[in-house]
Amino acid sequence: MIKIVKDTTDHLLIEIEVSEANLGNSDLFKSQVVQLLDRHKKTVIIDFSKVEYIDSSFLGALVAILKHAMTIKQDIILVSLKKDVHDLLKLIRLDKVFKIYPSYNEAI
Amino acid sequence: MISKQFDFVNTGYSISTDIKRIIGFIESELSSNSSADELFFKAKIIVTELLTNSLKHSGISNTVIVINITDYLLTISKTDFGTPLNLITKYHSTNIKIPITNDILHTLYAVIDNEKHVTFFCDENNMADILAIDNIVEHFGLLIITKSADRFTYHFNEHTKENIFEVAIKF
Repeated sequence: MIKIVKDTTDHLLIEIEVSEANLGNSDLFKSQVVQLLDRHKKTVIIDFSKVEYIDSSFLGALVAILKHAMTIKQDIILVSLKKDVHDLLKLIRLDKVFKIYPSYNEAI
Repeated sequence: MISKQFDFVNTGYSISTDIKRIIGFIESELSSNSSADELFFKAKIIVTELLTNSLKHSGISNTVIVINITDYLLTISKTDFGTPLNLITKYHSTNIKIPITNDILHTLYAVIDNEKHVTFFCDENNMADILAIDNIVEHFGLLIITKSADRFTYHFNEHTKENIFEVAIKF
């Protein structure tokens, strides 16, 4: 589901390894990222470059992860979103609550 | 009018093949439309959310999606025989506006037009307190459809026990 790409002193870069981020994998995604947050206590940067489409269940998981990150004083950053995925976040205004960057290099 | 029906059997497996089949049909019929990209984006997320809703409710075994296309309107309707929305069973007054969800981003309303018919719409809220992220809802299906559509309604047919969600997009 996810792969740790980079582990630095202040953040983790993880990549979502599926192209369809949906009801079938949203719970697993949420539990894996929450575990990483609890274990590493760092900002988590999520690379969406492989994700072709996303549904409401996965968006719900993302919001739950952000809420958890904030309770432990950490952050979630989204990078490399495909246009349709970014447009869906904008439609429901989640672009106003997540930090979103075109690429990992622009996020750090 | 062009019309096509798609039968979807809820097996609990991925719905991506069904989504591609339905969107492929819409794309083949409306590829020459001047706002095709926006139209296909909206159609895809609406079909995705309608089918995801069926998957979530395991009591629903079969779902029918019907696509209707006229010169200016794309209509996507979903019919199933699951449990009726509790909006219908809970409220018996008509012409009332009920907030379904409310957070710093949106308020999603249902207007009960008559005893068995509901129209959804939403308002965008002023994010006065960005720190109130904890207040953001985690269920976006109805909101996504409402914001993508020009009209989104739900109807329960008491005689046939059908739930009918109808989504219209003007183009």
